[in-house]
Amino acid sequence: MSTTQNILRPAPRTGTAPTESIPWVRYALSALALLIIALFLILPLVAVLFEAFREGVGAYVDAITDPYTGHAILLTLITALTCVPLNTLFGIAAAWCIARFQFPGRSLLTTLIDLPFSVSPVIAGLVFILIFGSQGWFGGWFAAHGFPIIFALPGIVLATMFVTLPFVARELIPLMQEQGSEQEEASIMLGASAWRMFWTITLPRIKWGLLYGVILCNARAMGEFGAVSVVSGHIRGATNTLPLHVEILYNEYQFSAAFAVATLLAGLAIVTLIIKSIVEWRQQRQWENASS
Amino acid sequence: MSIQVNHLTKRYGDFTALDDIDLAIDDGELVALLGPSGCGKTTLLRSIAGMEFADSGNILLEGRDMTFEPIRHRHVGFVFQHYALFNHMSVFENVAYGLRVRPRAQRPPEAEISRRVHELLDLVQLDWLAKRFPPQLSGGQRQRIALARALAVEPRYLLLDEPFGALDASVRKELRRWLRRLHEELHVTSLFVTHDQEEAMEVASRIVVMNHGRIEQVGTPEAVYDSPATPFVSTFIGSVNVLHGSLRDGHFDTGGWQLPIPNADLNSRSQNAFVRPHDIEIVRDASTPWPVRIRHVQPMGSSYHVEATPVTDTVQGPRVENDYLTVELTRQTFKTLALEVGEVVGIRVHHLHWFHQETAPALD
Amino acid sequence: MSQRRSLLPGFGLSLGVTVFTVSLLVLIPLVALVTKSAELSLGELWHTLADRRVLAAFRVSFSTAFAAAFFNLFLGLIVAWVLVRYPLPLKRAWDSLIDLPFALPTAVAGIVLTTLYSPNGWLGQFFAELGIRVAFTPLGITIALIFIGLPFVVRTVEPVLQDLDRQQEEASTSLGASRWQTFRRVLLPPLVPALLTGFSLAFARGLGEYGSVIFIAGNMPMKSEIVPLLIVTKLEQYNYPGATVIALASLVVAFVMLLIINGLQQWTRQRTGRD
Repeated sequence: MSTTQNILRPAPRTGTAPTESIPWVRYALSALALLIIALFLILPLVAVLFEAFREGVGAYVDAITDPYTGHAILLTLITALTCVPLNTLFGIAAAWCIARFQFPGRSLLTTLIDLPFSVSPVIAGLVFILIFGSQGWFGGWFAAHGFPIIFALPGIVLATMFVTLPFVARELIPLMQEQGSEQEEASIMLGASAWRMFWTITLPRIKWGLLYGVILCNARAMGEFGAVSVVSGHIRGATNTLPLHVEILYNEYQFSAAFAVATLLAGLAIVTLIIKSIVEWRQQRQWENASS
Repeated sequence: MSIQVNHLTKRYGDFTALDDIDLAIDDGELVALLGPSGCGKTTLLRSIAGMEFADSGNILLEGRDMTFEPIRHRHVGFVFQHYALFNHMSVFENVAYGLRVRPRAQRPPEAEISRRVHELLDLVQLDWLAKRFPPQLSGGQRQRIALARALAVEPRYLLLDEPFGALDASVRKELRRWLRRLHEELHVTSLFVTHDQEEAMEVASRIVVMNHGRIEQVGTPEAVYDSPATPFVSTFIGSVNVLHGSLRDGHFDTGGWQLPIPNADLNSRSQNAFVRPHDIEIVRDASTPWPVRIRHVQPMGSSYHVEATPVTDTVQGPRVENDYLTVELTRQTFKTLALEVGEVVGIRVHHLHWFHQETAPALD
Repeated sequence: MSQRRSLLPGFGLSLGVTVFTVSLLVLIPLVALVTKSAELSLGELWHTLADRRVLAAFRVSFSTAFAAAFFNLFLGLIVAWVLVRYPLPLKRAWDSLIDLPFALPTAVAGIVLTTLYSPNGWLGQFFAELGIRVAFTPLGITIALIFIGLPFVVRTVEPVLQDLDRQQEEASTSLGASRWQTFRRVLLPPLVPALLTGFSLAFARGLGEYGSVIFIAGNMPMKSEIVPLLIVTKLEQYNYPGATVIALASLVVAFVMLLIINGLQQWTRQRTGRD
C-alpha cells in the first residue's frame, strides 16, 4: 500500500518538525549571523595583526621594545595590580552584606554600585578632576604636600577603580542570593569561626563567579581609555598607560607602531575571552553536578 | 480506519524508539498508549501529530498518506503534559489563537470567534477565567484551557501527551472522569499517552501496551488485564506473582511444588508462570500440598495484602520472585481466617498463566 | 541595623567597607559634579547648554547611539537566534567571541575600525565606490557604537531564547499557525522585555562611549562631535564649569531615558501577564 502511494504521489523525503526552521531559512540566517560575527568581530582582530606587521617584523619588535612602550606596560600593570585586588575585596564585602542581610538602603546601595556602568568614562575622569584638580576641593592641599593626584598615578588608579567598581560585586550578588545562606548558617551553628566559614564554605562556592568577575575587572582595568585619558595628562614616560600610548602613536601617524602596541591589548582581550569561556564551562559543570 | 500506522520505525543513534509499529484506530475511539518511560509511546504520538518524522514506514489519516505532511495539514489537536499555554496571552486569546492564525479568507469574523471561544470555555466550565493569564491558573485549570484551545480548531484527532502527568493525584482523578465524559459528548477520535496503568484502564476504551519500541498488546482494558499476551504485559498491568519452574505432564513444577495447569500437554525446561494475587486462596486445613508461612500483613482498606513464604523440605524449594507470594484477600475473608504472622497455612492457586515463548498467547 | 537578627557574622565589617568605598568613589564625586554646576547662575547655565555647538553634539550623540542600538536589536536577535537554535561548527568559539567588544580596549577598537572604514580601508573602499563616506562622519560613529553595543543585545536575549518552551511552538503549529505567525505571535512577545533591556543598555553605553568613537568620528564641530569629546575639549581649555554642566546634563538625560525604557519594560511585562 505504501509503495503504490509513494509512486502515485511522491512525498518529500523528510518533514520538518515544528521547532525546526525550514532549511533555507536556517542556512540564510546562519550565514547572516556568521557574516555579522566575521565583519564586526573577526575582521577587526585580523586587521590589528595585519597593520601591526605591515612594516615588517623588525618594526614590530622595535615598537614593542621601545622604552616608552615598556614604561606604559609597567604603568598599566601597576594600575591593574592595585585596582583588581582592591575591587575584589570590595566586591566580596559588598556581595556579603547585600546578599546575606536585610537593611534599610540596601537597594540604594546596589544602585550606587551599579552606577559606574551607566556613567560615561569621560565623566568618571572629570569628577576626580573636580575633587583633586588644581582648582578642585582638595587638589591644592595634596599638591602642596608633594602628592599630586591628577596627572599622576593616584588619579589613574582612582579613575580605574571607579569604572571597574561594579564588576566583581555584580557577578557575586546574584550568585550568592541564588545559593542562599543555609550552608553558611549550618557551618556557624556547628561552631566554625567567621574566618573558617569564609574559607571553607563561602569561597569554594563562589570561586568561579569570583574568577569571572576578576577577569572582566582586569580586562577593563588594563584597557580603560576615556577616564584615564582625562586624568593622566598624557605625559610620555610618566603617566602614559598602554591604551593612551596607542592613541599617542596613532595621532603621531606612527600607525604600525600604534597597531603593534595594540596587539598586546588585543592579546589581552583574547586571553580574557578564553579564560572567561573556561570559567563559564566550569561554572556550568559545577551547577549541573550540584543539581543532579 | 481513522488512523493507520504501518511499519513505523524510528532510531536515535543506537536507540530504537519505534520498532516496526503497526496500529489501526477507528473513528471515535478513545485509545491509551501505555508503557514505561522510554518505551516509544510519546514518539509514536508525536509522529502521528507530525512533530517528529519516522525513518521508515508510513502514517495514514483517513486513508491518505500523511507521513511527511506538516502538522498544520493533519487536523490534529495536541495537548501537552506541561500545557504549553501562551503565557503572554489571556485565556480567551489562547483559545482563540487557532482561529486567528487562519488565512484571512478562512478566518471567522470577530463575533463568531468570540462566540466559539466562550462556547468552548463553557464546555470546559472555565468561562469565568477568560480574562486571566495562564500563570494565574492552577494546573488542572490550565490543562482544561489547553484542551479547549486544541478543540477550537475542530480537530479530527485529539492527541494528548501524558495530559494529567503534571497534576496532583486528586485533580488527576477528577480530570480523568471529565475527559471520559467529554469524549462521550464529542466523539472525536482520541489517543492519549500515559505511563499509569490505572489511568489507562479507567479512561480508555482500548489500550495499546508498548515496551522497548514495540507494541506488546492491543485490547480492551479487560482483555489486557485478564489475558495478557506477553510476560511484559502480565507484570506491567496489575500486580502479579512470578514463579520460575518447568512444564511437565500437565503440571507446572517449581522446586517440588506441582501446580496443575489445564490444557497443557507441552513440556519445557525453563519457564515462568504468573499468578495474580487475587487468584490465590488461603486455606486453614493442611490438605493442600502447598504450605506457606505468613510473613507480613498489609491492610489496604477494602482488602488485605498478605506476604507468604513457601514452606518446603526440599533443598531448593519453590522459586518465587522476591522469595514471597503476595496474596490479596477480601476484608471478609481475612477476618474469617484470622491470620497471624508466623503461622503456616495452605494455599490454592485458582488461575495461573504462562507463555510457551515470549510471544505466545496466554493459556488457561 | 539589620532588621532580622542573623546568625551570620561580618555584617558590620562588610557594610562598612562597602559604604566607605562607594562614598569615596561614587557618592562624593557625584556630589562634586552637582555642587560644581550649582556654582553657575541660571543665565550662565543656559548660555552653556543653549550653545549651538553643544546642542549639535547632543544631537549627534543621541541620534548615533539610538541608531546603533536600534540596528543592534536586529543584528543581536539574529546572532542570538542562530547561536541558540541552529547547529553550527565551532559554536562555542563564536559564542565566546561575542564578548570581544567588552574585552577589547576601546582605543584598539577605535583605531582598527577607523582603519577598516577609512576610504582606502578594507571595508571603506566598498562604501567609497558607492559614494558613501563612513569614517569621520556620523555613520562611522554609528558603526563603532554597533560594535560596542552588539554583545548587550545578544547577551540579554540569549538566556530568554534558551528558556523558551519548545512546546509552545509545537502547540502553535498544531493549531495551524505558519512559522512566521508562530514567530511573531508566540516567540517574539516573551523576547520583547529582553530586547528592550538590551536596547537600553546598548543605548546608554553608546551615549557615553568615548575611546572607540573619537578616532572614527573625525570630531568636526556641529557635524561629528560627540558629547563626551566636547567635555574633554572644555576640560583641555580649562573651562571646568562648562565641562561640568554638560556632563551633568548628559547624565540627567541618560537617566531619564533609562527610566522611560525601564517603565516601558515594566509595562510590557505587566501587560503580558505576571511571571
